[in-house]
Amino acid sequence: MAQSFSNRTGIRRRRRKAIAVGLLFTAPWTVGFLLFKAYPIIMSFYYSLTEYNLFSSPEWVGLDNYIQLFADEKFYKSLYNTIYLVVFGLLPHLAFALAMALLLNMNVKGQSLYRTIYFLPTLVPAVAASLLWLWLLNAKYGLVNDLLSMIGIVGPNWLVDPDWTKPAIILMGFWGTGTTTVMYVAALQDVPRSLYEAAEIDGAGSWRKFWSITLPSISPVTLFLIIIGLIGTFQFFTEGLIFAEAAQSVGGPENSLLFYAIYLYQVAFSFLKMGYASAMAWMLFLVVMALTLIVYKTSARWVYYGGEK
Amino acid sequence: MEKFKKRRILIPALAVMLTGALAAGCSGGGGAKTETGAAPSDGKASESKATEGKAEEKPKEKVEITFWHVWSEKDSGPINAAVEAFNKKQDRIVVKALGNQDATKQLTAISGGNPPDVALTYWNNLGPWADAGAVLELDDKIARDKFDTASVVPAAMERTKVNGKIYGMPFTMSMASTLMYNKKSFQDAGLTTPPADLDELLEYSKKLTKKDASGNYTNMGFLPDYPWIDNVFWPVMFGGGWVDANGKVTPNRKENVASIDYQANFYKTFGVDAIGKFKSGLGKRGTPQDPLLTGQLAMMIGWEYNFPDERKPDGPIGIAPFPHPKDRPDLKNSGFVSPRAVFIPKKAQHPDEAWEFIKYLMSVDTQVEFVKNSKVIPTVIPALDDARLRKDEALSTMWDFFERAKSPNLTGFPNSVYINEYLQALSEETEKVLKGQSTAQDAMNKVAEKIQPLADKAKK
Amino acid sequence: MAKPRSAMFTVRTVILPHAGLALAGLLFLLPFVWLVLTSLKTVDDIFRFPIVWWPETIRWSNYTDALKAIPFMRYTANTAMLCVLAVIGQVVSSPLAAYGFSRLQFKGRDTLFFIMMGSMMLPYQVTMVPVYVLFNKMNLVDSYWPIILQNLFAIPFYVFLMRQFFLSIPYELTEAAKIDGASELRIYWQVIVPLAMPAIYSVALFAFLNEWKDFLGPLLYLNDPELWTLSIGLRAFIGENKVDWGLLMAAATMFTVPIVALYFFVQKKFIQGISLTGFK
Repeated sequence: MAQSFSNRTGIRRRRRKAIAVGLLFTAPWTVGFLLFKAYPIIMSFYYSLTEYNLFSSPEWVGLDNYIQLFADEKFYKSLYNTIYLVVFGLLPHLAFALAMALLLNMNVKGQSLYRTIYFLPTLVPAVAASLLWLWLLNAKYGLVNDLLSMIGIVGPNWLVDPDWTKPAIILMGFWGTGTTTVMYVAALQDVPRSLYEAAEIDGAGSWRKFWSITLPSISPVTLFLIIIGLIGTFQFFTEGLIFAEAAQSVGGPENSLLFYAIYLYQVAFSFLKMGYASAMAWMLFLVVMALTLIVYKTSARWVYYGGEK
Repeated sequence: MEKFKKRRILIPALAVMLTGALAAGCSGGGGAKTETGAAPSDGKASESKATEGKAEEKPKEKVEITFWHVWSEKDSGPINAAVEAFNKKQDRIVVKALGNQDATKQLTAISGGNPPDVALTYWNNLGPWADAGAVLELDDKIARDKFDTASVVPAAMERTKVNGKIYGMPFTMSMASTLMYNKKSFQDAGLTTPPADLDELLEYSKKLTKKDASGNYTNMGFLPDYPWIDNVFWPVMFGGGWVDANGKVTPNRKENVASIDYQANFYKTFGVDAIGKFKSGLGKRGTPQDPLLTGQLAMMIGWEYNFPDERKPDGPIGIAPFPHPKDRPDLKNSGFVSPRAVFIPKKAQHPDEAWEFIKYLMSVDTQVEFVKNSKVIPTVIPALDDARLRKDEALSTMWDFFERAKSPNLTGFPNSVYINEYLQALSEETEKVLKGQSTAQDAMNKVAEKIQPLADKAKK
Repeated sequence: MAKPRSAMFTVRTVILPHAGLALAGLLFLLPFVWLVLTSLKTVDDIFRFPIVWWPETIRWSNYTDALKAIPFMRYTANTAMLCVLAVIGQVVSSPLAAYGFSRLQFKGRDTLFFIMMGSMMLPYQVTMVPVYVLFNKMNLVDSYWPIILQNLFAIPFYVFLMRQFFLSIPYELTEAAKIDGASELRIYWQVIVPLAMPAIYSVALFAFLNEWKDFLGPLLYLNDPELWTLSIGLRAFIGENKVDWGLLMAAATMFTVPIVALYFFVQKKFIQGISLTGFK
């Protein structure tokens, strides 16, 4: 393309057109955001700088909520509980889902049946599923310890022992990895077979193929799952609350099930301290944002987009 | 709604259970123990007083009001019947009842500007909500219509007061004041009468506890924190309190500390780990495998909804007043109440009609009907003795609860803006004591430290 | 280049996968089987210890009682309606937005994306009430509108998902069309969308599922029982002091069955969609 003086306006015009087209395409999100999300988000930030009981006008307190937060032992406890889930739950769940997806992708007979079986648990409503697992994890008459005893292991007191309550949650989490597996299956099926064929010609074994072709090809989805997993796990709420209820308390035995979002909810709706809860929310935002950025930055090294410009 | 794969946005019975668990663990306490005034038992007294005193100035046109309650379809038969009866017996007000409206929904709608006209919730929500200005004070209406608050069980009436003002009416109440026990377990251990004082309770427990060959407990006599750590019940039994007249929080006064020491003693006597193991093997409460029914546990704190059928005189479960501290016979028949309260949101569109409905709910006839359908405890004193309830065989196991509801030692936890934080702190610290991680005095001192600033702020 | 089919090969490609899938499948199915079996048990059997697998007496009445306890058909219809609208909303809007965030270059794109991602990181508990206030000011509470509207506009989760898929589509495929002078919309519709069908089906499935299970939305915004959904209906079996376990599990099973059927159907479309991509 011939460059000349007048191309400067041409570039500007093209840029403006690009912005217009870009905004048009992203409008389905931006409009919704501006209509329904922007105001509440801004308000919640404002509330974090106030004392607010949801009914009377918020009272300005500046950074007091945040300062108080740093002195709050339950802030640290709930953060610890939640990070525990991320470290010991998220990654094992992802690995498991990938393993399942790989198996499912192997063109075995009965594929659709298996896929449905793995997906089935995610269809059960959270209340029923949590109540079901409370039952399964009962130390005495629950199925889990029953099965463990069949192979000679004495199962722990899943729901009462503070050291085992989070592992119980993580165990239940494996049951719900169906959606992740489905996404991995879709990703695996998108990997061009030609790549595998080429590798086979070069004499690559299955492990090599997995490491050099499969993993990189599905890396965009892996990135997605890690980030979404981070965001979701940090906001873990429903099942944790039902499990804690089994111990007849909000935080479970020795607050081992006091997850961040649960504590936040209690502060906001039980103690009516929406200002403090909002500060908690924004702290969480910062933590998750920081972690996500770290993951994102490192992603350049391990994520391969087919559409690399 | 935004969704993540791990986020199931379900707060069904959660909010109910959350506030329920908090409510169940708490109840009013301290404060005036008024003498229950003699009230006629024909039932019409308070209602007719109200209608006499009412100067109706509004024109008689039909008004529809919305009434939200927390009950799901499973439990809402009785309240629907009450609403229907109200709508039938007069033309002016039509009440539209809506169930499944838990605390989350109520709170959001009220603060979001779309309140119902009248609502029913667990009493401990009134404290924070009233303080925040969401609830209408009822004192004016009560005075204007000469509603006789003395006709309401004092322990229940106190629960709906915040800073001395009345913010709701206790419609029904749950009560814990009894000891329920497995008769066969007693027989097998050679025990003929239920324990009278707390020392005996401990002794009985030792006799009723059995071990198996490997030294694990197969049966236990009593667990002070079954089914939950009850941070209201125990101080009440010991004659403690939580706030003094000057607004100082007193979780660490000697009676409260003694009550926690007593519980900790159980854990020391039988062993923290051993109890933990035993607890993990307990059958599910409220099913045929309930520990008290199977004898796994011989005794427990009894609420009016526990074993309504099995506690008949010839049934397997015995019932007795909960033992009192040996040196405090004056605390006999202590107990605490946990009511469901009806209130009017401040920004309700039809507060006057809402108040009419509330008065109706507090009338003896309505209370009697409701209790007949649901087997709870009425909060209106004349209803406790009403012939319709006392002669109804189907309610025979409720009769002694009706009697107990008259006990002067019936009380509860104080309602306030910081009630939920107070209860939470008590729960956490008590757990530490039971597990041997702290002394009762230290733990309660910690609670006082934490909560006093909140109480100071509340005094304004 | 055919490798000789050794026994090892058979083990690895046939036996091990089957074994692995079967074992995992069993473990996954077990709780669900437990759920269904419980729905057929009497109260005596449900919590019995030692565990009773097969009900001594089969209580079909748990199902009929559950159906009678709540207006099941109406709730199902209401729920299905909301779910279909959610699917339509997300399938149309999310890929469009994702295209903008992935295949287009424009100033401010990354900032916008950053904001979108950030909006997911704030726990909903603190925006719940302001959102309600907003809808109340628009006079939309007590109706389906807040739920429908929020499902109409692209939801970040799905946008992010689609974006990742779009990014993995080679640029050569679209460059050709661009050189030919095709508009972005054209490229979107004729090149990108067909290639991303598996992902779009995932979005459809998840959008349906998430709305099916949505409890908070219906709880907050629907005051008329005629409008209620199945997730609210499930609470009918949870009482203040007691849970109707048999009925609850029966209701939960019935709650799940339609989606299983849906999933079976969508599964086939997955495979069809893939064979259209032309990759293989």
